[in-house]
Amino acid sequence: MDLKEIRQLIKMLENSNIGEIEILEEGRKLRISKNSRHNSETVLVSGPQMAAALPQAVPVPQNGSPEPVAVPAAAEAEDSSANYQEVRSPMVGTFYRAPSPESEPYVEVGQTVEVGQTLCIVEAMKLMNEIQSDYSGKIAKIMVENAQPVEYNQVLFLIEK
Amino acid sequence: MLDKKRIEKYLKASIFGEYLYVFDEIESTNDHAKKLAAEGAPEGTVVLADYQKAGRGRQGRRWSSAAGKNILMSVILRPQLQVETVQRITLATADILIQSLEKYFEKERYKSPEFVVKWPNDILVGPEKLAGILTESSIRDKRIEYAVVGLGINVNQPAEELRKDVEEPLTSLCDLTQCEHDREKLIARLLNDLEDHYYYIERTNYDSVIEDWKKHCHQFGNEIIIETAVGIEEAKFRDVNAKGLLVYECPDGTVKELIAGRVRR
Repeated sequence: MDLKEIRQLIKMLENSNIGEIEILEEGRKLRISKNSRHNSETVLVSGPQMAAALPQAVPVPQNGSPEPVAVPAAAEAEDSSANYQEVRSPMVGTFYRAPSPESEPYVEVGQTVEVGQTLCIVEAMKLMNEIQSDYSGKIAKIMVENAQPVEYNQVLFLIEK
Repeated sequence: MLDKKRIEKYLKASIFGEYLYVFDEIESTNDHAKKLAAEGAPEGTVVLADYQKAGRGRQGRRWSSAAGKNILMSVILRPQLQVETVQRITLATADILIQSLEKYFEKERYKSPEFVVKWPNDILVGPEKLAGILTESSIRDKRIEYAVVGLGINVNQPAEELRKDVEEPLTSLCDLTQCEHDREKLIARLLNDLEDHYYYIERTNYDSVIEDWKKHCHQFGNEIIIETAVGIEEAKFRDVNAKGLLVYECPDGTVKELIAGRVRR
């Protein structure tokens, strides 16, 4: 994680109703807090799942009463190891594994993909963005469930090197 | 059947429509345009068909249209700006299409109805749908390689002849004016306007898109039903924010943003 990403995190925290974020990534720990420790909600997320902290439908605090945000936290430390290439979302949107509910998924775990092959769709405002693979290799893991919201830079797929 | 030469006669655009593919029948104009784009077709390449065997909308829903009656058109774009910025193109296209139709009605001296948008980009007259837009893009290495904007406009087919089992009420230009329309002329006009506006928004960072779009939106404050892949929610339509997301209020007062989904009244 570089300075730019940390700045983005600080900005994200400021604009959210989350009191504190703690990130564990590659053995390093980073905690950003805007409240005193005693009255804050801490959201603990591991590296690859970090972006899940901001779901698709983000509750906006009304009348100055912040609500805690439920975060699906899962540690997937082993997957961020050097054996995998990460395919990340270029944008905020809804993740689809297939072109329509009736269609077969673009890719399955274990399948070998080529550079430029369509892996999924990320939809925003009825723009269906087909995400092409930047790597060739075997799909090791699909990090997001079908039809779930994804954030900018969230890891979508792990591809074996 | 569509007459390519007549379209070219009315075309003033220099880039949009320079490469014009006209088919009597095709699976889907978007699919063909995507194939051409992947093979390197330049920005402004247009695919038109009199009939689509597999015309579709969002999530693979069928787009129904009788042969030789309506406008089924896909345009290849190669936007230069960042992926997140370009997402607003769907709202921009609706605004451009409405402005183009308004100008056409004025020029041809038809009594113009009020064309409105339904988030994000259906075009309606009253509650009845006149046109749908399906945009697809290909993203590689965090850049848009190409986008294909597919327009389906009901022109010379009366709504009652359009698909009978369709869930939503429909209309067509011939229903609105009680006469047939010159599709070639309309297509050329649309391409002229699309070219002008598209290069304007690319030059100006899509800054004016949301404000322009809002001028055609009558949904503010309405009770709506939001349908996403994970469920159905009742809500109140509050606003569309600077990014183009729908801001809505749940029955418990929570305010949320919707990035993708289907909105019904």
